[in-house]
Amino acid sequence: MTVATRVRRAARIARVARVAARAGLRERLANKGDFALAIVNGVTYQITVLLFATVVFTRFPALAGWTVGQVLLVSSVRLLAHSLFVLGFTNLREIPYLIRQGRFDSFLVRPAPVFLQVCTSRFPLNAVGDLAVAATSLGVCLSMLRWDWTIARVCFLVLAVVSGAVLELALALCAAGIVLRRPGSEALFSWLDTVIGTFGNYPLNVFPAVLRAAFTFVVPVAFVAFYPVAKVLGKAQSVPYGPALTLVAPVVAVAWLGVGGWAWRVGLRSYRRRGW
Amino acid sequence: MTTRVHRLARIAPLAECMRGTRLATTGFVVATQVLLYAELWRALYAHTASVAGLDVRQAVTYSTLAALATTARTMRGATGESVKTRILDGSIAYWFLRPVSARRYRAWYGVGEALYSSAWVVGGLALGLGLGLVAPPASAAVAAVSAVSFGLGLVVLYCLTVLIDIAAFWTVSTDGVTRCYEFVQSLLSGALIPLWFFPGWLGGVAAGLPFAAGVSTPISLYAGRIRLADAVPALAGQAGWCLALAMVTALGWRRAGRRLVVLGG
Amino acid sequence: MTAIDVSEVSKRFRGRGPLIRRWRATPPETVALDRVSLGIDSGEFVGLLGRNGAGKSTLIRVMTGLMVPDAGQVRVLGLDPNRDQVRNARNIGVTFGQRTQLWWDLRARDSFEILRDMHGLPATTYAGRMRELDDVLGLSGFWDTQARHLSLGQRVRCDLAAALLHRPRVLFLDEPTIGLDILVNDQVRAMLADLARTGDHAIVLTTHDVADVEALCPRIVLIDHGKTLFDGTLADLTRIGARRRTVVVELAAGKGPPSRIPDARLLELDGARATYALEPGVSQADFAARLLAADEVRAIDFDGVRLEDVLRSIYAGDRSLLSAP
Repeated sequence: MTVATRVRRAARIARVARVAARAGLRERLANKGDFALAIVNGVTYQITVLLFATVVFTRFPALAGWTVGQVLLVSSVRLLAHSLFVLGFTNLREIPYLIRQGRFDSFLVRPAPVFLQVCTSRFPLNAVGDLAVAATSLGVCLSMLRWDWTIARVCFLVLAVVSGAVLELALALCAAGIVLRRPGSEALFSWLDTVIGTFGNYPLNVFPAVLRAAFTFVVPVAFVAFYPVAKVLGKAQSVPYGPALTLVAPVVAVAWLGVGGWAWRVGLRSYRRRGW
Repeated sequence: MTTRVHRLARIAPLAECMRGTRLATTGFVVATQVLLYAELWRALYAHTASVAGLDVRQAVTYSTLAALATTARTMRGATGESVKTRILDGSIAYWFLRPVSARRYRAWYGVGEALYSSAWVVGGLALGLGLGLVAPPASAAVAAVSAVSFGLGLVVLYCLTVLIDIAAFWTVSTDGVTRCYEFVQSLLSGALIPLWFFPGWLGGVAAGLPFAAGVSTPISLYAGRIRLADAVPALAGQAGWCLALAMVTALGWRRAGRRLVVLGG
Repeated sequence: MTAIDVSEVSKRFRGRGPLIRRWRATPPETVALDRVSLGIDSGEFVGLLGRNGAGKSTLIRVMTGLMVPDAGQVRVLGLDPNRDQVRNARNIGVTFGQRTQLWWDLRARDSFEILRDMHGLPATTYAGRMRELDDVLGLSGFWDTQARHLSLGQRVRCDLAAALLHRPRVLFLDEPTIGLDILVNDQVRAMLADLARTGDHAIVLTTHDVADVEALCPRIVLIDHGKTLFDGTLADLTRIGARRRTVVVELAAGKGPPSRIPDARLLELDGARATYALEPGVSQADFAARLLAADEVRAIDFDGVRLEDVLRSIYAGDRSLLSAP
């Protein structure tokens, strides 16, 4: 394939995505109740998260030598990454429903990538709520940290958020691949959500060795926020498995994306072959 | 001709068992959840000797069981019988064309669902006990009382779930409502944070709402946060919620029937 | 005995506009049913026909109690299908061809057993019914398959069985033969015809497959714009259509068209082929005899009067057929 055709193809796909996303958004806005609830959800979720944080920090002061503001930065980066992921790709979780409705099968025969059609099948209104939470929590924690802003720091944080989102996408793709190959395993999606949501918020140091290893080498939860944030906070020396890990989050994200892409393709192929 | 409606309770467990993958996934999720949460709370409590009158072991027991109870309930996927999925695939009409009313059908299905998820809770509890992560109940009486309380809690949670599910008759998608309910429930039931950690006003709110009766009460009884002497008022409170919610749910179904008439199935 | 009694039933829908516009304009109303009356006796097999959006599905929904009409009333075996939903459910069987009532994760047989429990059928009765249904629908080949793995045809057959399991005295079949191959379709038709012949079932069939209606339904109700356009026998409807009988005559080589044939009008002449329209009341045999006597033709091809053609011209707006005596 020449560069020109690749570019043209990418442009066409982008156009399809834009049109589909806009149609999805219009559809969601047509329902007043849904729209209102998306905002209510943001607020409720916000209360839950902030309350959880308050409880943890007031009751358990010693979090491996991390201050409240510092731990909050871990959660904020994770939340931002999560809301980016939700904005673009949360519909992967809807695949079992799409299959049930027969919509997924119609995606297979249309001339656009199935992944794109799944992601644009519905506009993720709740991303609005998630973004609101993330922004608030980031604001609170930055006011607590009183930082000197340097370009390097900002760039590093942005990179951390992006690679966190990519990691979440990669893991969701793995789950989607498994779901396509072995229907009935859709509980993996919510499992991923809870594991990242619950365990990605803390400094890895607080966990026993088994979990540290698991969250670094098996399910890369710690790379979503903890490792890069430790670097930004100047705590690189204290992380498990050496300071080098604080720099490699983007590499880990890309590697996992490769795995996720492979899992997705394998899953899709076996779904097609079985044909249902 | 007598209907044998109680046999409808078979549906949910049977459907789950038809798929090996589903059983395997559920087992995986339950097992990892027990291990991960026990470790998390152990780590958090590591430097705190006693929390609100509970020792570390009791506190970890509470938190782990709370996580377990919540996970086991959310195992149903896209194929569970709910108003939401039936409206999505357009077959809700059949619920109203059978000699068992939609309400009774959903209730018996819910019984099966509750039994199935309870089996997983028991399994997860056994795993936790075996690995020494969860403390055994203090006495046989505590075990019995918390089992009863757990049963009442299931009824409360069933009613709440059905109320949310019925909302699908009015809203195009219940995702918003469901998500909202999940937050509120996980927060106010004490599944996420033990209720006694709440600031006073929120503790009051949580105590006045039915969510705590679903999760917090049985686990508090088990872990010893509610003493055996105080069990009777706790159980009475749960029973009261069961009754009140059952009535609201019945009302909800009546309205839903009328709503269906407008939509035409 | 009257099984289904629909009297003066009307139903209108209010359209729901988009969010912004809803405050400004009153949403448009569509009339789905306009004072429809219909009586169906036990033993009758009625084909309910109409274009998309004509009001067929609304009528089915009203008759099954899923929808309450704005005006008028419905009785099915003496019961109000909406208010007595549960009791009524014992009397009726319903299939919506597009939607399945099988439990998605369970084997088809499990679904039948659940329905058996709901209807409280004794084990022996159930076994007998299943055997009968298996004979006709060939279910045993796939009833151990989970519903989600069934092919469309298999699923439709299971759904039919699910609707017939409790031997309902009133049957509503909405597109029941969708996705069936010719052989199975024939078997299903034969089974439905058998049911109808027992004389104590009232069956209402809506379908777009006109052949089903021709094969099965002695009585036809035609609905359009929420009104009953025609209610009579299949024979009546085709007789109406027969006013438009045409004959194609292939002329012998070198001959022109017969200059004048009584009782027929020349419609079209294409080389050696001429198309005539017969006047009403003229038998095909007389016409043929006259032509052949003149020894001018090589072949005569009478177009049979097909229901499809009648419907096509009615749907296309040719109401003259119905209003003519």
